[in-house]
Amino acid sequence: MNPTPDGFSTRSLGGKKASGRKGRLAKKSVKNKRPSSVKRIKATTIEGGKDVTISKSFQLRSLQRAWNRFHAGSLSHWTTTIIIALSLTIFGAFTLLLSNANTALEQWTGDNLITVFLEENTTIHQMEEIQNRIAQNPGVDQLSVVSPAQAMGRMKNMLGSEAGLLDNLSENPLPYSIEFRLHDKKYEKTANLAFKIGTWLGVEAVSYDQQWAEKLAAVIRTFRFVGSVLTLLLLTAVALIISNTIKLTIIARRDEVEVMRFMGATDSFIKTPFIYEGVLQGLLGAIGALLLTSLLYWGADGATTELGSAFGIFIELHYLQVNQLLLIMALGIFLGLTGALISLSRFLEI
Amino acid sequence: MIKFHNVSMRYPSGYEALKGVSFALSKGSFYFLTGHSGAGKTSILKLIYRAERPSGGAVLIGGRNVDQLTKKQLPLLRRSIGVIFQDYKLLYDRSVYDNVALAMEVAGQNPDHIHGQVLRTLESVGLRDYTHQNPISLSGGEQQRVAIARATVNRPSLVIADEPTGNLDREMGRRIISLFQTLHKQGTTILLVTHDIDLVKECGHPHIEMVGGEITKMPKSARLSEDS
Repeated sequence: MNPTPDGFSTRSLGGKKASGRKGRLAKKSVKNKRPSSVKRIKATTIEGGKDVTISKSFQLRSLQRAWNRFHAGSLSHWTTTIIIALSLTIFGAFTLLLSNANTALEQWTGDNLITVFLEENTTIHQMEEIQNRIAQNPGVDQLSVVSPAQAMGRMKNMLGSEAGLLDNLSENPLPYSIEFRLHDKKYEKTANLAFKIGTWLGVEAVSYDQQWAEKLAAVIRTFRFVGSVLTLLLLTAVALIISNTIKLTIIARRDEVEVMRFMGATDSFIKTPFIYEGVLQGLLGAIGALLLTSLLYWGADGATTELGSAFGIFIELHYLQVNQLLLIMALGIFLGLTGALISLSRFLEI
Repeated sequence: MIKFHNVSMRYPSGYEALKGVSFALSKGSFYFLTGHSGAGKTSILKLIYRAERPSGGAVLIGGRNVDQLTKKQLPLLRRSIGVIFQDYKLLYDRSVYDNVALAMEVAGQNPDHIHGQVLRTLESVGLRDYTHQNPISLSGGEQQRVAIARATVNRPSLVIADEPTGNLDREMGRRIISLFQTLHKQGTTILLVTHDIDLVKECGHPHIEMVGGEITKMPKSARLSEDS
């Protein structure tokens, strides 16, 4: 740098070396004429203007400034982030609960005994045919026929000292039945096969161990519906909260917006930093939610293991799958983005 | 370069800031716009970079009617004009360097080009050693120079300034005016708003005088000819 007595550089504005008098107040009018010795620099003109793409360096700087605002501890930013984290934690907890309940249904480890009760007038030939048809299904094991007398014997065993009550019956009301077990213990397969057999000729009814699972499945369906509605309401509220935070940011930074606008910034250029802020809030909220969900999981896992051992059963909870984790992250980002866009469309007049 | 055809402007409050103003400034010229508070000087500047719109008449910049520019064209107009505000409008959440660089980022300049150009421009206004400082720590004169650097870093063809010496002492005012004269020598059209008649006389550049939203005095060179 080559300073003049008044402290300014001899380098001309715009970066080129200026010729003629430098840094001094002109004593004479130039009468609107440019000295011929002055080289004309290439100027930015409206005719020569071009549309702008946002540079990576500006994007990085915007991202860094958004982060700096968090780092500086802006209360509204942190409050919003915590609200996002808590809301997504509720969503994560629901997902965790339903996912484990589904697994419990799928991995039912009972005997999986299926009993096919036959109609009273079923012939031996029909019974054999039903037996054969059942045996053709994959995974069928321990197929056997239970006579009414055998069934009565079992009932008496079950009743124990009360078995004498059955002695008053004039005839055995129990029908012939066919029993079998299925290797594949998935609830849906068992339920489907039971339903199919129930439609066959000569079959009165079909019962299976997993009928309780039907009730559980109904409870899960209800939970899923209620959970979905609650999550939707919660996430809508979160998007509006983010929108409000971005609105406050826009108001706090109206000078910056105004300056950029008068410099010739495009809509997208002005909006980008705010969008980054919204996305960053959503992302940080999602990370917080994953941490809280992990804590919930560890707590619940310990409690259910203890509960299971008290009842002599083995219960093992599993954590969220990778796709579920990604869903929570994506939801956080989506919420941040949506909140920012709502706010920008309503409060940023460019 | 700048043409005002019978321009009038009324604010939403009903206040009539300009009444049938007409003038023409040629490319590469240097004019002062003088007048007391409320004369309509700032309104003229606002119409040039379309912060406001006229309620009558036409404002032409580079042959284009500013009021008819589309939403896409408007940023291009603004990038061709370097605006210096009376209150500087610097951003105090970033450094001097970042304030100046923002103007180039807005204009979509190549990031490799930005660094060198920003440093050269800061050097030209005598602030090369202040690049990492926050503008809030600078004096009024220094902040004004940052504002000038920001307005000129893209080498706009037109620079307009609203009372650039209004908050400065006489000596610093002279220094700031010398920067505008350097720009003028490089071919930039300059329009400076001031109420300091002494400074105008000292500089010797022509001036347009306004009173109550009307032009009361202007040189022949600024008169709008019949055929324009």
